[in-house]
Amino acid sequence: MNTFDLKDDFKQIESTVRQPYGKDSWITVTRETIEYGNEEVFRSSEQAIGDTFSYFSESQKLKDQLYITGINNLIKKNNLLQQTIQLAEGFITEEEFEQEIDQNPDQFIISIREPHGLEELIVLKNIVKKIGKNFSVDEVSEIFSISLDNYDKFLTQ
Amino acid sequence: MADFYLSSESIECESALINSRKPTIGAIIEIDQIGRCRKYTCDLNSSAQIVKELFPKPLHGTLKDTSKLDLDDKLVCQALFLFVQGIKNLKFSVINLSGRHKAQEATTKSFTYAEISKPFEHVIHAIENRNKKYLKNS
Repeated sequence: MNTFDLKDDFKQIESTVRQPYGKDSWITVTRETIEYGNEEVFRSSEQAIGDTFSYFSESQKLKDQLYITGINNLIKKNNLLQQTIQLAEGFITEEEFEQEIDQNPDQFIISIREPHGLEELIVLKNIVKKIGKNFSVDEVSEIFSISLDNYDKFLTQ
Repeated sequence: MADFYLSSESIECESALINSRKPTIGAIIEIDQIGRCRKYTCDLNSSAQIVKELFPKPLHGTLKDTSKLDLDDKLVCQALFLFVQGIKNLKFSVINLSGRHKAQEATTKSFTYAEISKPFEHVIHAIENRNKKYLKNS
């Protein structure tokens, strides 16, 4: 029986091509090929299409992330509000309130991070514009988890 | 020791005296530099005054380089927001701030960051008028 080492004989090559699309966006086409010896074997076409569409637009991906972060943060605020009402009504004590937050930080605490880059701030600005309400800078920071240090950059866009 | 009225001016301290006619408790936020803190928004004529400086006192602010750090530095404005280290709720007490209006007062007991989010209307008008004059003369 002819045996061979899979790792040595098969080579997986991944190439990414970025093409401009519209004014602000671009398409990232990821092409995966598998080589066996000198022969090139393509992956199934479904996989290739899936890869292409999943990386359809970088800005769309950023938008999705920000929308998801925003919804998650609003849920966290709602959870905290419920706990605060329970505390105010006397259903739970202060110790129980703190214990609940310490045990489930993911449900209550909003963590603020540095923005990934200028692109993210531009996308964020467009989202806030679409919402159409007069948010203050700290409100935007709280909803979308963007760091304080970049307020000035954000405002000067 | 000075009063500050302009937008985005901030203070950082170990303890601050907060006065406001409409304080609101906000979310719990985790910031890398200070850890877990509680956010409060204060509306309708608010002020925040440093009662106790940071120790050891840094050269620049932790969250913002331009933060004021000296004792008795005071933010006076229409609306401000503050971050208070820890998750315990601040307890506000009602006081008579002026002859007509009552206000609510609290003193923080851990790291506090306060920033003006909305200055008084007359301050905004004064800045606008100054800018108009400057543009006319130039």
